[in-house]
Amino acid sequence: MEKEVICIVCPLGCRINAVVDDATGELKSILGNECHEGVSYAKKEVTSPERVLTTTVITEGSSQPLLPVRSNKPLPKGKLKEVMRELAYVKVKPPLKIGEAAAKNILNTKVDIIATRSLTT
Amino acid sequence: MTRETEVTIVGGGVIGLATARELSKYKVDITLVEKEPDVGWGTTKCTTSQDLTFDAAYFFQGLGAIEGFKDMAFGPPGEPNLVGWERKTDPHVDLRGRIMGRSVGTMEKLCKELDVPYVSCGNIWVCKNKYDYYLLDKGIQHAKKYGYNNGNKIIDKKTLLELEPNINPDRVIGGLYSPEAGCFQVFRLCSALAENARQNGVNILTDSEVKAIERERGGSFILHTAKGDIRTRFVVNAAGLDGWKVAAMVKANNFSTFTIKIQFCILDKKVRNIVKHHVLARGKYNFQIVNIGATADEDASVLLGHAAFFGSKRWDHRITEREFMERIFIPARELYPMISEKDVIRTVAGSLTFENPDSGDIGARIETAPNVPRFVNVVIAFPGSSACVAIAEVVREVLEQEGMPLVKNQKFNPRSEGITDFSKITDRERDAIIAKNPAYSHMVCRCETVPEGEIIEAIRRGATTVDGVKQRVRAGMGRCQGGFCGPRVLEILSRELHKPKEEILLNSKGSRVLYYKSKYLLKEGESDY
Amino acid sequence: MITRDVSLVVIGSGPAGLAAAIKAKESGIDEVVILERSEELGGLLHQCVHNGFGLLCFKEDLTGPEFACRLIEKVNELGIEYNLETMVIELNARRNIKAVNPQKGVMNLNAGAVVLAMGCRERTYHQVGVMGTRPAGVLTAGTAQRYINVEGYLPGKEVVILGSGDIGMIMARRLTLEGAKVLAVVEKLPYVGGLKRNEVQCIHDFDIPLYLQHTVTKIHGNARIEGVTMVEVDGKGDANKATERLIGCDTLLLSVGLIPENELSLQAGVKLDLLTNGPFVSERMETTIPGIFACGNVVTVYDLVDYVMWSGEIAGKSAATLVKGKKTQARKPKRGKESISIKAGNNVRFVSPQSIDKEIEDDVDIYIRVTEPMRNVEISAGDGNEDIYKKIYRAVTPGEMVVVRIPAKQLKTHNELVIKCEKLAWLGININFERCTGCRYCEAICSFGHFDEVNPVKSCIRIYNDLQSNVYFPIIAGPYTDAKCTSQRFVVIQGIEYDACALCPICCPIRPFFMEPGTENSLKCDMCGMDPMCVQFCSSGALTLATEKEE
Repeated sequence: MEKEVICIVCPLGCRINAVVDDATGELKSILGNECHEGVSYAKKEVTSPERVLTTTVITEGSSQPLLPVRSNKPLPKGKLKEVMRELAYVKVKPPLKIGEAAAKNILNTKVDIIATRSLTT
Repeated sequence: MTRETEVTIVGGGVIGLATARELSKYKVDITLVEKEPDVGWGTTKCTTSQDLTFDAAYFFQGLGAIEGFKDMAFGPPGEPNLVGWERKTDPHVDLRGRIMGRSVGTMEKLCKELDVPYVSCGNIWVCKNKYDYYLLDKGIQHAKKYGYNNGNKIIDKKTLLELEPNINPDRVIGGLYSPEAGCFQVFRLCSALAENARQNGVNILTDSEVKAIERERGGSFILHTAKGDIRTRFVVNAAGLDGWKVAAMVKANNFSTFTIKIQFCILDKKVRNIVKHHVLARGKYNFQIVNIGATADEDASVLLGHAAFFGSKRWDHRITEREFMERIFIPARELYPMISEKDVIRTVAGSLTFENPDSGDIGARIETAPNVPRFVNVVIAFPGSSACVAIAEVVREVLEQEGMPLVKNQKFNPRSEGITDFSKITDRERDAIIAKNPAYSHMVCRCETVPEGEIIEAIRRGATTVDGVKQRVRAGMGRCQGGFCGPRVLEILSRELHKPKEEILLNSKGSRVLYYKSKYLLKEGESDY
Repeated sequence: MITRDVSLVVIGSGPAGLAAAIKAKESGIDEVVILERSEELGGLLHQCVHNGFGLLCFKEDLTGPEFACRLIEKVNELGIEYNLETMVIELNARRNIKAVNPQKGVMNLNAGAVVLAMGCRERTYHQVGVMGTRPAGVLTAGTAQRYINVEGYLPGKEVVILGSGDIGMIMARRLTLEGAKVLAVVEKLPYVGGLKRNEVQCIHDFDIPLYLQHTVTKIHGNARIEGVTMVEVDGKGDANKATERLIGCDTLLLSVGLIPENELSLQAGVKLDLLTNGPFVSERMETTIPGIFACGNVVTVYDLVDYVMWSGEIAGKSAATLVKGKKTQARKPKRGKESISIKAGNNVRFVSPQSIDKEIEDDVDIYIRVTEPMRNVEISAGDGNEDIYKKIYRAVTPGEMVVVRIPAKQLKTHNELVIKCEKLAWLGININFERCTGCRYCEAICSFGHFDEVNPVKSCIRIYNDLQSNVYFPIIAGPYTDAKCTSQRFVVIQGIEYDACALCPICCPIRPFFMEPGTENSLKCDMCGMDPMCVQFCSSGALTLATEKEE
C-alpha cells in the first residue's frame, strides 16, 4: 500500500511517498524527501500518526461556560473523533487547577485530558 | 381577539413613522404595523438623508432619456439630447415639487425636537460641463417655483476649488452650493420617531407582516397580520417596496411602480479629510448620481453612492453587485482620484420605488384608489426621508378629505430625548453619567466608543436585534464592523431580553447569529465527522 | 475623575503587553500600569485553545491559555498594577491617556512612557469585495473562535472558510472536531497563507477540500446565509466566470487578513508604515513619537507568539531605560543622521523594525516576509557595496517570517541597509580533490550532525582512497532526483528512458552505497540546511560552497 504524507519540518513541504507492507504494516520504502528529517517524520506519520488534541469541555457551577483542555500526550490520530464524542458528555466542576486532569486515561489510551487554565467558580 | 383601531399605517419606515407622529397630534387611535423585528429596515435602510436644495431628478434623469426608459438598463452614456425634454405639468409631478417646497426647514426642526444629530455640512451639486449647467438652471427654476431655492448659490470653478481643494480641477466647472444644507442619520431618526410616536399614544407592532386585508360591509378593513387581526377604519399604505403587494390585497393599485436599485459604500473615516462637503454630481450614465459625504456625524465614515435604473423589474434590492462597484468608483475617482476601493469598509444595497412615469417624469402619489375609499397609498421615492414631515402632512390632509375627524391632542409632546452619546460628551458629564449608571463605564464598542449603558438604553427603547442596537448607538459601525463588539452586544441582548443567545437575531426574521450550543452536534450524532 | 502621573503605561495585555510590562518592571521601573479592555489579562490567548505557542521562547509546546498563564503568574508575582475592563479612548503625543473604567470612571493618566500593544483586528468581507446579500451567518474566524472556544456556541454546521491564513485553518479543524462539516477552504493564492504544519494538521488530516486559486465572489441567502458563489482566479486575481459554482452552506467564515489596530497610534500622531500597516519603529521598538513604544501585532502581524513576546520585552526594556534616564522631557528618538534606515529590497515585502540606532551594541533581529514562495535563495543585508549579512535558505514562503540578525559590530558608516532576497541558480559543494588530505573530519561531522554518532557508514560524504595513486576522493551522496528505476534494464528519468542508469551509481536509491544501515532508506545530502558542516570543518579547503546568483 502506498501512502502520501506532506512533511511539515520545513517550508518545502515535500510530498513523501511511503510504501507499507499490506500484511505486516511495516514500512518498506520512502521516496520524495529532500533531507533526512523527512524520513523520521514520514515513518511516524505513516505507521502511527499521533496528534495532540486541544479542545474545550463544558463546565458546571462556574461563571466560565467552557474549560480549555489538551491531551497531556499525543493521541493516535484515528482516535480523535471518538475522544471528542466522549468528552462531549464530560462536565467539569470547579475547582480545578491548570494541569489537573478533567478526564483520566481517556478511552483507555493512557492519555489524560488536562486543564490548560484554572477553573474557578 | 381583533384589535380595534381607527388608522392603521402599514410600514415602519421613515414615512410611516413620520405619518404616525403627525397623526398623533390629533385624538385618533393609531396603530402601525411593521413586518420586520425593528423599524426602518426596509426601503428606508438604504437612503441618504440631506436637506433638499435641488431636485435630483434633473441630474438623475440626465437629458433625453424619456423614450423607452422603462426598458433601459443603465441608460446609454454619451451626448445628451436636449431637444424635446421638458417637465410636463402632471399633478403628480407637481405634488413632488410642492412637497419639496413644504420641506424647507422642517428636518432641522424635527431633528432638534427629537434630539437626532443634524449637521449643516453644506451641499454642493457639481457641474462637470455646460450641459450640467443647463440642467442646474432648470432645476433652479423648479426650486424657485416651489420655494426651496433660498439657501442656494451658483458658484464658479474658483469658488468650488476653494470649497473642495481636493477635487480634480480638470473635471469641474462650477456648481450649486448650499452652505446651510444639513444632513442627518435616517436610522436614528426612525427610532426617534418611533419612540416619540409611542410616547404620544401610537401602538407600534413589529414582527407583524400584513398577510391579507378584508373589506367589511360597514366600510372598515380587517388586516390579518402575523401577530393577529386588526379592524381599522383608515389604512395608510406606506410599505415602500412592498407597497404594491399591500395595495393589491384590496385591489387598490391605481399606480404602478418601477424600482431603481441603489448601492452605497461606506468609506473609512479618513476620507473625511479629502471631501469637505456633501458633494453630488451626475454620473457616467443617465440615472446615476455620485454622492459623496452625507453622514451626520463629523467623526464618522463617509458614504459613497450611486443609483442605477433597472426598468420595471422588481430587483432584489439587498444584493450588492460587483458591477456597481466600478460604476460607483469610476465617476467618484474622476472627481477625487485619491479615493479607492481600499477605503471601503462596508457595501450596502437597497432600492427606491418610483411612481411609473408614463408622463415621462418621476412622480409621487399620495391618494386613495378610486374604488377603495379610506385606503391611502403613499408612493414617493425622492424626496423621501428629507421630506418626511411634509409628506406626513399631505397624508393627514388626504385622510381628512376621506373623513377622518381631526381633534387636536392637547397632550401631544413633540420632544424626545435621544440616547446620550458617550463619545461626544465632556469628561465631567461622563463621570456624572457613570456615577448614576456604572454600565456607562464599561466600553463595548472600541471603534465607536460605545459603553454598555448606551446599548442597554437602545434595547430599552426598542432594539431587539444586533443591528437594531447598531443603528441606534453605532456599535458595530466602525472599522472592525462588529468583529470585537458583536459577541458582547449579543450577550447583552440575550441578558436584557431574557432570551437564549441562539434566539438573538442579526436583523430580520430568521437571521439567527448562533445555531447550536457547544457539543450539540457531537452528542446528537448529527455530525459527519 | 482621576488624574495621575504614571511612569509607564502599557495599553493591551496580550502576550506583547504582558511581556513588555514584565520586562519593564524587571528592569527597575516601579510604577508600571497595564490597561486592558477585556475582563481578564491575556488578550486573545484565552480563545486560542490550540497548541504551538512557546516553541522557541520556552522550548515547550503550549496552548494559548497555558502561555497566558505563565505570563500572568509573572505579572502577579512582580506585583504589576493592572486595570481590567478599561478602554483607552484617547491618546496624544504628550502621552496623556484618557481611559474609562468601571470602578474609577474616567481616568486621565500622564505617562512617562507608553507601550502600545493593542494587537490587530480582522479584515471583513466588505474589504475584499465579496458581494451579494448581507445575511446572518457570515463572520470572521476570530469572532467565531470566541463564540466556540469561550462562549460555547457554534455559529452553524455547514461551513465554508474563505482564506487560508492560520486562523482560518485552525478554525477548520476546530469546527470539524466539534461536529460541524467544513465544506471548503478557499484560497485565492496558489499556496496556503499560513504554516505548513497547519495545512497538514487542520485541512489534510480531516480531508477538507482545499481550493487554491479560488475565491468567493457572492453571498446568497436573505435572513441567513444559504450559499456562496466560488470561482477560479488567475495569477492576477481575475475571476474566470466560466468556473463559477454555488456551494450551499449555512456559515461563511472569513480569514482574509489581520490589520494592526492603530486607532490610538493615529490619534497620537504616530507615523505608520504602509507596508506593515503598523508604526515605524526603531530597534528599540520606539515609534516616531518620543516616549511612545509599540510591540506585538500592532507593529506588524507576526506568525509566532514567541516573536510577539520578544518584541514586547524589547519595548519594555527600552521604555524602562527611557523612564529611568530621562530628566523632564523625553529625548527625541534618533532619526535621520543618527540612525540607519532599513528598507525592503528585492522580493521582500516589508521589514520590521525599520530603523537601527547607529550606536547599538547588541545585534538586532529584523523580521521580514518574502513576496512569494521561493527555493534556494540567499537573503542578504547590505548598503549596495558590501553585504554585512548573508544566509542561504532552501525554501522561504510569505507565510513564515524570516529573522535576519544584523551584527552590530559590522555596522560602520552605514546610513541605510537594504534587505533583499535573491534566487540562487545552483547550490552545491565544490570538491577540489587535489587538496583532500584524507583527514575524514567531514565524515565524522556529517554522521554526528545527522545521527548523533561518529559513524562514517551514516555519513553523506565518504572519502575514497585510490591506493594506487594515493589520492583521496571525497564523494557526496546526491540529493533527491526524479528517477524511477525499474531495476531491470531501463531507467526513466524525467520522463526519458535510458538503457542504463545515467546517474552516478552512488546516488541511486537502490544501490548499496549511501544507505542507512538496517533500513531501505538512502542517505541524501541535504546541505545541512544550506550551511554544510563538511565545508565548515574541511581542514584543507578541498570542500567549498558554490553558489551562483540567478541573473
